[in-house]
Amino acid sequence: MKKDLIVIGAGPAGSMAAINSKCDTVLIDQRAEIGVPKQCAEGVSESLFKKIGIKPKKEWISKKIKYTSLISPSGIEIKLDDKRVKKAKFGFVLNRKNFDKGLAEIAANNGTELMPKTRFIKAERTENGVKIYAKRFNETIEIEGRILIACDGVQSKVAKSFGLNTTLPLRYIESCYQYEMTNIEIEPAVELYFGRVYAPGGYVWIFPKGENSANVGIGIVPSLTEKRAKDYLDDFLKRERLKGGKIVEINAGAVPISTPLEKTYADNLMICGDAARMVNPLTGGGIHTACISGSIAGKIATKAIEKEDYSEKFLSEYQKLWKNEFGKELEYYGKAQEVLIKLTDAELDKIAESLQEIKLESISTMEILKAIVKMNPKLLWKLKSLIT
Amino acid sequence: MVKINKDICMLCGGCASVCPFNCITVTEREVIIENCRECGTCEKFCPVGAIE
Repeated sequence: MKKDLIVIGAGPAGSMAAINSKCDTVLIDQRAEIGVPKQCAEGVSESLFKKIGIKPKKEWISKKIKYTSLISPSGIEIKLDDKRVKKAKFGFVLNRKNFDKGLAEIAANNGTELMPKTRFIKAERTENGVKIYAKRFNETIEIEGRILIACDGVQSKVAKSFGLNTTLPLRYIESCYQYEMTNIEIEPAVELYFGRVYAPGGYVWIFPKGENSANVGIGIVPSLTEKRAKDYLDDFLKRERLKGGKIVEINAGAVPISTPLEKTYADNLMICGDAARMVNPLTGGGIHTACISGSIAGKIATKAIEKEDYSEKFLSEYQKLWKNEFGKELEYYGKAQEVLIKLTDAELDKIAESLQEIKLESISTMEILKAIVKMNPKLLWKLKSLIT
Repeated sequence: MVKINKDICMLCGGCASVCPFNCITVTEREVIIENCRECGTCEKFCPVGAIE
C-alpha cells in the first residue's frame, strides 16, 4: 500500500492528526475496537472542544462537573466551587470509548483510511520516505509513505524503532489502576485525594460517570514505594463511602510525568501525545495536549507533502508550534512536581489549612499552584521563583 | 527472564514503556519478552503485581 501520511495509533492524538491532514492518509491501530480498553480517568477541561474545533457529540460526555474537591492526607477538604472560583467552569468527565471512536469516525469520514487490528511491527526509511511493517490478522502488510506520525502511546514503539530513546525512569512514570464503580453516592464533582497515605507521588481520584457511578482510580510513582497501585486502591475502597460499591470495570495503565521529549521530530517523523510524553506532570492529564499536538502534526504533514519536503528541518515547525501552545506550561508543572513530590503528608495538611479561604479566577493547575505559593511562601519558596 | 502471570496481567503495556532495554512488546493478547536482562524495572512498575 502507498500513502502520503501514515499515522500510528487511533487515540485522540492520532485521530486529530488524521482529521487535520489534507492528504492521502492511513490511520492504523493495533486494537480491534478503537477506544477499548479505557486507560484513563476521563476528565477534561471545559475548553477542550473549542480548542480543537470539534463539536462534541452527546455520547462523548458522561458528566458535567460542578465543582472540584482537593482532600489532604488528614481529610481537610478544599471545595473549589462557584463561590470560590470566578469563572465557574469545571470541565467534563468524558466517555473515552465513545470519544475515541467518534474522533476516528470523523477522520474516516474525512477520507482517512482507517485500519483497526493492525499492529505496527517496525519502520524503516526508504529513499524518499518511510516504510512500515504491520501485522493484520495473519498477514504482514507493508505501507509506504512520505511521513509517519507516531501516536502509539506510552509504549512508543514507533519512536524506539527510529532509534529515539523514549524510555522513562520509574521516577517519571505513574503506575495507574482504576475501578469503574457503581452503586456509590456521588457528587457532580472531581475529587482528588493527596498524600503518601493514599498514593505516594500521585493521588486517588473519584470522577463521576453517571447517576451513581464513577471512575475511582489511583496513580503512584513506583520508585517511592514497594506496594502496588492496586494495593493502595484496594485500601482506599475500604472507606465507608465506597463500601457498597460494585466494580463494573477494571483498568490499568502508565502515565508519563516527565516533561516532553526534547526532540519530537526527525526526518519523515513526528511524535505526538503520550508517545512524546506530552502530559501535565502534576495532574497526569494528557487528552488536551494529545489533541493539540496531533492537530498540529496533521497540518504540518499536509504542508510538507505539498512542498515535498519531509526533512527534519521542515518538520521542526511542528515542535515550535506545540511549544507555543503548551510547552512552557508543561515545563513549569514539571518543575513544580519536583518540589511537590517531596512534601510530607504533614506539609500537605498545612498547605490544605492555608487554602481554606482560597479564591480563584478560574479552575486550572496554574491558578491553584499560584494560590498555594501565595499562602505558603516559606514552604514553597522554591516554587515561587518558578511561577511568579 | 522475568515471568508474567497471565491470570493477573491487565495487558496495560506499562512494562513496555519502562523497560530500559526495549525488550517488551504488549499486544492486545499477550506480553512478548525478548532478550530480557532481568533488571527488574518492569516488575517494580506493574500496577497489579503480575511480574515475577
